[in-house]
Parts: sequence; C-alpha cells; structure tokens
Amino acid sequence: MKRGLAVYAVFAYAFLHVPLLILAVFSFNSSRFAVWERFSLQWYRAVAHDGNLIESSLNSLIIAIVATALATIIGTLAAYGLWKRGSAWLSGSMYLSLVTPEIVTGASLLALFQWVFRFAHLRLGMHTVILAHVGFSLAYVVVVVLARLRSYDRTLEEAALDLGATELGAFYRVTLPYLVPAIAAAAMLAFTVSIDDYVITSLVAGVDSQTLPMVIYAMARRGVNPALNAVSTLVVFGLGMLIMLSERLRKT
Amino acid sequence: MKLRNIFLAPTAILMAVTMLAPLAIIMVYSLLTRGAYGGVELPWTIENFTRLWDPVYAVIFLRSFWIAAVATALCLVLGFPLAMFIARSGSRKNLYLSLVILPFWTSFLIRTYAWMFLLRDTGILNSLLQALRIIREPLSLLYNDGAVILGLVYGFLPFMVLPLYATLERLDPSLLEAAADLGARPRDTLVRVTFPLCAPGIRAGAILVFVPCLGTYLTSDLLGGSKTVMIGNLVQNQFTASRDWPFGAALSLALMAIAMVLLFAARKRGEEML
Amino acid sequence: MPQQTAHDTILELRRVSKDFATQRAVADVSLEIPRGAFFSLLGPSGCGKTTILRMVAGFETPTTGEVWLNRQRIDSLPPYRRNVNTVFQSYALFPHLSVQGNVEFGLRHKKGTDDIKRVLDVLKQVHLEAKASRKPSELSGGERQRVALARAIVLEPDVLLLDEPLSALDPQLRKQVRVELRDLQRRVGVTFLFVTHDQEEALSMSDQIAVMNGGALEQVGTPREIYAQPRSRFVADFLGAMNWIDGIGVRPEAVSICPEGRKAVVTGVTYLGSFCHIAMTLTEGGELIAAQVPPGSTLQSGQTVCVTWNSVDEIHV
Repeated sequence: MKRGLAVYAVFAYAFLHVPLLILAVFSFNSSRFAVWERFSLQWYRAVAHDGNLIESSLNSLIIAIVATALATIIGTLAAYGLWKRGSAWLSGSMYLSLVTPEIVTGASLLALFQWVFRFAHLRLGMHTVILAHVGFSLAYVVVVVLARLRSYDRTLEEAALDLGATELGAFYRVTLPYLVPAIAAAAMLAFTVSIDDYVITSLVAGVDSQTLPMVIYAMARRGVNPALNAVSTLVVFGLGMLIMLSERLRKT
Repeated sequence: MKLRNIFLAPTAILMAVTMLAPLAIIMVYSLLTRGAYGGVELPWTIENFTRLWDPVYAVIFLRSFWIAAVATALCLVLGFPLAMFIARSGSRKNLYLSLVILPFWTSFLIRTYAWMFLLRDTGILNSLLQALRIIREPLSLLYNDGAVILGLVYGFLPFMVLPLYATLERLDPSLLEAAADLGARPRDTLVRVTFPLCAPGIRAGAILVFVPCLGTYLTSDLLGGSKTVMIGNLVQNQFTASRDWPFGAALSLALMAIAMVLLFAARKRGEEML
Repeated sequence: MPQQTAHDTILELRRVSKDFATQRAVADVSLEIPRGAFFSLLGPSGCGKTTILRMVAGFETPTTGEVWLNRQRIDSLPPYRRNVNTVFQSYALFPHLSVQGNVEFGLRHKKGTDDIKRVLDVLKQVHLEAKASRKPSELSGGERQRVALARAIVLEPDVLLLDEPLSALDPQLRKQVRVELRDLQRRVGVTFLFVTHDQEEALSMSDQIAVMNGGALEQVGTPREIYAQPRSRFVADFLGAMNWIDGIGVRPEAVSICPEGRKAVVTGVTYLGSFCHIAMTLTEGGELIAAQVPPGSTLQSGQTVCVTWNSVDEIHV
C-alpha cells in the first residue's frame, strides 16, 4: 500500500507541476506552433519590446505594492484589535469578503463606484483598483496575523504594562516584534493575491490602469502566442524568486 | 478612545466601503428595473428574482452545481491518497506539503492558460497525438464541460489536500493499530476507521472546493468558452455586455445566498472554517 | 522436561532483537510465557518492554529472532491475523463508535460475527452494560479503560497485551483497578502480558515478572524471587529502595536502630504517616544508609545511633 501511494503521488505531483513546465519549455521554442523546433529567445525579445506589456506590468507592481502596504498595516492593527476583543460584525464582514465569489465582489464594487461617480467628479482608474485590492486582501492579512496572535501569551503584554509601558508601547515593543513573521507572511499573501487578480480588477479598472493579468487574459483569449508563454514563465519565475527570498528572510 | 477602537477603525471603514456598501447597493439594484441605457430605474419590482426560475437560467444554475460537484468529488478522490502519502512520509512531510502549496503562489490565470496551451486544437496534446499518428484530425479538448472540470480540479486540488492532510496528521496512529489488532485488514481500517475520523477534513475540503467552483468565472470563461456558461459568467455578462444590472444583482445575491447556506450548514456541524 | 515446557508455554520469544534507525531497542531477548499466567514486563521507560509488546502484537517486526504463539510462528504475520489483542496505553477507543460499536468492531472483523449476546456479556463483566450506547468521550477514565479491556477480551485472544493500561488513571483509582484487573484475569483465564514501569504494580499483580534494562532481560521470576533475590544491582535498585554497604544490599525496612551495631549519624528525619524515614551516614566508611522506624520515633538530625540488620535480609548480587 505504501508503495502504491508513492507511485500515485508521483503522478499527482506531475499533474500539479508538469503543465507549467511544458509552458515554460515552449517559451524557448523558435516556432509559434506547439511543435519543438529549436531553442530561441525571440519571444522574450518580443516581450521586452511590447510597450503594452511593460506598462501593464508597472501598473500591476505599483498597485500590488501600494495595496499590500496598506492592507498589511491596516490588517495587522485590526487583527490586534480583534484579538483584544472580538467584533461580530467586523469578523462577519471579513468572513463574507473571503467567501464571496470574485465576480460578485467585482460587480458590486463596480456598481458602488458608478453610483458614487454620479455625485463626484471621478472616474475608474488606479485608485479604484487599489481600493478594491486593499478591500479583498485585508481579510487574508487579518486571518494570518490573528492565527499567530492565538498562540501569543497575553501575560507578556501584561508584564510590559506592569513594568511601566503604555498600552501603545506594549504593543509596539513587545507584541509587534512577536508578530513579525506572521506580518511578513501576510504581506506575501496579500501581494500574490493582488498581483494575480484578474476578475475583480478587470471590472473596476479604467482605461489608464490596465494590469498585467488583464493583458495576459486578452492575449490568451486571442489565441496561441508563444510570447504569452514567455510572459507566464517570467511571472512564475519572478513570484518563485520572491517566495524563496521571503523564506530566506524568515529563516534568518 | 481606546487603543483597540483606534486600531479597528480603518478596517471598519474599509469593510463598510468595499464590502457592505456594495452589498447594500446590489440589494437595492436587484429590486429595481433595468434602465433604457443600462443603469437602473424605478419602479420597484421582484421580477429579477422570479426570472431566476426561467428554464434558461435554471439550466445554468444546475450545470454550475453539476460541474462544481463533479470537480469537488474528483478533488476528494485524487486528494485523499495524496494527503495520506504526505501524512505518512515522515521527515519529508514539509517538502511534499510545500509541493502541493506551491501552485497557490503562482498565478491562477497563468495556470489556467497552461491548460489552454495543452488542450487547444493546435495545442501540445493534439500536436503530439498527430505526430504519433494516433489521430489525424485534432480532438476538441477545449471549450467543453470536461475542460472546465479539469481546470477546476487543477486549481482547487490544494484546497482539498490541506484540510485532509491536517486531519490525517492529527489522527492517533494507535487507533489504526487498534483496528488492525481487532482484526481489520488495511482496507477495512480505511473504510471503517480512517474515513469516518476524517469526516471533518472531508467536509471542510469539500466546502473549500465546492463554493469557489460554484462561483467560478475565469476557469469557465477561458476553458469553457461560450459553450460552458456558469453562474459566474452569467453575472459578468449582465454587468458588461447585456447591461442588465438589476438582473445581475439578483444573480449575485442568489449565488451568495447559496454559498452562505452551504457554509452555514458546514459550520453548524461544529467545524471552524476560519 | 523440555516437552512439558513446550506444552505449557503459550508465547515464546526466541533470541529476539529489534534495531531502530539509531539504536538497538531490544537485544537478544528469549522469554517463555506460561499459559494462563499474569506475566509482567517491568523496566524503566526506553528499556524495550513496549517494543517487545508491539512485536508480539504485530506492529513491529523483529530484526532477528522468532516469536511463537501456540506453537505457531507469528513474527511475520500482520496484526489482524494474530490471535492476540492489545489494550493500548491511550486505550485507542474509536471516537466515532459507541461503547458497543467498539466492542463489536473486532468480533465483526476477526471472527466474522456480530454476536450481540457476547458483546453484552462482556460489557456486563466489566460493569458497563448500562453505558453500551455512550460514546467514549462521555465516559470517565476508568470506564474507558474497561471498554478497552472488554473490546480485547471479547475476542478471547490467546494472549492479552496490556501497555501500561493504568498509567492514565488517577492514583486513587489505580490501586482499586489493580485488584479488579487481577480478578478479571483469574476469571476469564486469558494469559496477560502486562507492560509497566511501576514496580508496585508488577509486584502486586503478577505471577511472573521479567525485569528489563537497556533492551536486555535482567531477571525473570516470581515477585518474591525478584524482590528478595535480585540477581543484579539494577534489579535490586529498581524493585525498591536499597542500601549498599560493602557491596551487600539491605532494604531500609530490614534496618533497625538498636543499642548495638554500626555507628551512624542521623542526617534527616522524614515523617511519612505510617512510618518515619531516617537518613543516616555511617561513621565508618561514610556510606549513606536509610531505615524505616515507627512513626513515634523521636530521633533528630545530628544524633548518633547504632544500626543493625539480620544477615538473612542481606542481598548478595
């Protein structure tokens, strides 16, 4: 039975990982068809010269970095507040935001923005995308940080207060250092869900705030394009490096 | 003001703006009439909800249920042995577990595109089969229910494996030894001891897979094309091409209601999902 | 006569060793366990006693050596094909099944029947017939232990293996359960192989005890033999407190304080209710010596006394 399981596991892992490997391999193929011809970097050159791709990548990075920073700070504070004393309606709305289908989140945000724009002189753009991203990644941050707080010894904070720290001082000098690994993990999570999101972003983005997933989606709809393989490989590789880096930092 | 309240304030505002206000708007819109140029108008009506029973849409709901159910069942069947393998692999547990979680960190969109690349008429699978002269004409592997189910299983398998692994890991090994001691063969032990004791993990995994599959948009859009329309695609269509916001709002609420009922049913049985 | 022995022996270990990745858990152990006996494996934690039990149950395979049950070699059989059953230290009751479901489990798998009458009979024997439909989580510790027993004895195993079954109970209950367990063993007549690290438990319940240390057997014998004639210093020390004077062992209860004998200085007096424990240092030789005296003793630290003992109480190893 043990042997059978191991053989099965090989197939299961192949199922999970081989499709992306094949995608990456064919990004180095000189032919634009799914038949191997010879090694070539031409699709990477095409990507490097595609202004649309570059611009949308920059947009994605800006949005992800700003949204991650905001969501991580706000979410960490919220997790601490909820740990002190729960709040049914806040937990409830965050639970709701985690389980709402993306398409519903996006559509309802779009409805809200359009309604607001009737009164305010605003348009869809980077700011609406960032607001949406902070909104949907906030719950992830709270869940991750709160999980770490669950194993935190309350008496440590009480000891700090006993030794003369203010409430804020105790949080900043005792609790926050304990939370650092969780905050880093939460930021990683927020960054990846932000940079990857297509469904919500596509609904609330304006003409000047095209993101990389939106361009990738449009390319995928249009048909086979090895340049898309090259972009995908770069994205997967980039995210992979980021994870490795964060693991490294976590261990030191 | 207390520190806790100051700390919670930004989140409260953000949740009100990005979660509760949009929900309230959707609720109001779902009871209004479609405007002549898109948008919404008075009078109030419940017609958007009665339209959900129209066979055209009922079929889409049923298909979504069916596809999500099949994908969930496949995730369970494929995920259980994998979770068992990881739980029993001793010191390598963490490595094998991270190999399952890894796809989490890579783009869902790109992983879906990978299957388009494999399954297209001119994709790698068809090219391979043609080169080997197994088939002459390309098979239509893409744009059908099967492709959508495959994409969902590929995307959500980790959501099934993680809770299953967590319960298997916690399983007291002496219970399995006790079963063997009392005469149960490995297969009997699996059916009569391991499965029942893993019920919480199976339920959690099933919910974690089924709910997002039911509301999926991207997978059915890219791998199902125009042939496999699911609720998510219907919602998207109302808010974009059809410009029928009130009906889109009603569809959204129906989808959320189903998800909430399922989650509530699962929670009632005493499992913490969060 | 060898033939006689073979007939009376129900379980036999022949030169059994077990190696784990980094250490030898059991080293060349040979044991014969008589039919119907209450046989204890006694030793400190990590001495290999549980590994022996698990090799008999079938959860571990010996690295070398043979295990024979009822004149049949069983060391390579899977657990479900051995006619032995285990009472686990944690009891390992199935939490999703009722008391009755737990007791039926083995009947269904090992015997292919679900004779409800036998289940109820066994539950009556352990005084649990009223709780047949309860879940394990609704029972007290003592009741759980009895379910674990009932679940094993309903299968009428050749040998019942008990892995420290009393360690999860509170001390008050433990003493009472000792008597009950001993009575139950006599009544059903099943051979018990009982693993424990508690010498009082082993002494009070067993027909025979095997003392183990570091994976090897130290001594096998009746409780009296083991206590009164230990064959090694380890056995002597493990079975109870022991004074060592000039290489000769004397138990504290054999030491008396009287007008004549060896001189010693009292270093500590501990009142223990039914007796007083006196710690002393011998003036000559400087060895430490302990004695038990009646609780009314007025001895005090610093006092010089004389100690003596009967030569029949001396233990030579």
